[in-house]
Amino acid sequence: MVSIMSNAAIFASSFHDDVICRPELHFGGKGGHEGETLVDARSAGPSDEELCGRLKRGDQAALRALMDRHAPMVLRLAMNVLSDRGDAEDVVQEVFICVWRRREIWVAADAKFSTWLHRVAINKAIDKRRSRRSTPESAEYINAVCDAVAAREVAWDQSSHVDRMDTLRTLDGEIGRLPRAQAQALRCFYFEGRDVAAIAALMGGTEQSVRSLLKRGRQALRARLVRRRKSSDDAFAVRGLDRPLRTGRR
Amino acid sequence: MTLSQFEALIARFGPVVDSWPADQIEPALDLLRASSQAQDLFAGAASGQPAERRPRPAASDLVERRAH
Repeated sequence: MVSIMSNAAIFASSFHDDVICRPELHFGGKGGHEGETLVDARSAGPSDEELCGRLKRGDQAALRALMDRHAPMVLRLAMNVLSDRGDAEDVVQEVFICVWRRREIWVAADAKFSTWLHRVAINKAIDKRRSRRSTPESAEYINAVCDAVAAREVAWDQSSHVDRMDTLRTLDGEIGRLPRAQAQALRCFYFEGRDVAAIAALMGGTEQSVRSLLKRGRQALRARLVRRRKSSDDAFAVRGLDRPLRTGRR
Repeated sequence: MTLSQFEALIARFGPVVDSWPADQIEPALDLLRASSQAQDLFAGAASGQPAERRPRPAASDLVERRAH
């Protein structure tokens, strides 16, 4: 019997190396988030049905093969629902853990494996998206944090200078972990005070694309900050997100 | 939201949920969560090929078409 821990090992050794670390496998421009190319990983080899048969007998290599083949599309579906890379990657892991746990359930006669898998992915992504709403930080609140930081009129009246610098460093560090274009747009907008038109000119894009980058960047930043707060008793989260801030600009 | 409304939404705004009109996101997600047909539609749009309805032509067909 293979435990979930050994599943995690599969993800660590195969999933992350082969899928997450090779973004060229992930997305196509047409079906969702732009800029990357989806490669159909279905090449010569055992069919999904054959692999599922092996999976039912507890063959981890079959799971790895199914992941190699289908993780890019699952990730793409999750990204389309969530617009957040970290959350989408979480969903991919949940989906394949679900595939392993429920390997006895899928029956070829009911639906193609890929169809069933995509349905599972969509449901999990929607659940993830909705669970985010229950977190106390709204997108507007993160905007307020960014605005306050950008305007340097930090209203954490009781906070020390050291605390505020910690907050700035934390925010800057989290922005630095976002996709490069999102990070650049956020830094230009919030830290350098450029307007959308100026950022579009700087980045060689349209104003619409910059607005989209800012929106997705804020969402991703919010998700990162929420995760950070959940995962640690971080000073930034405690001081920075549980207290109203005075904002500098709209 | 009905399946045809959902189909129209996808056709107009694409498969990225955040690009949908804000007031339609929740009704659309309700349908998407509940309807396997909507899920298949969404997956087809995300793959860039509403392909379940339009089977990919065989390579031999393509060769034949090119020849004509």
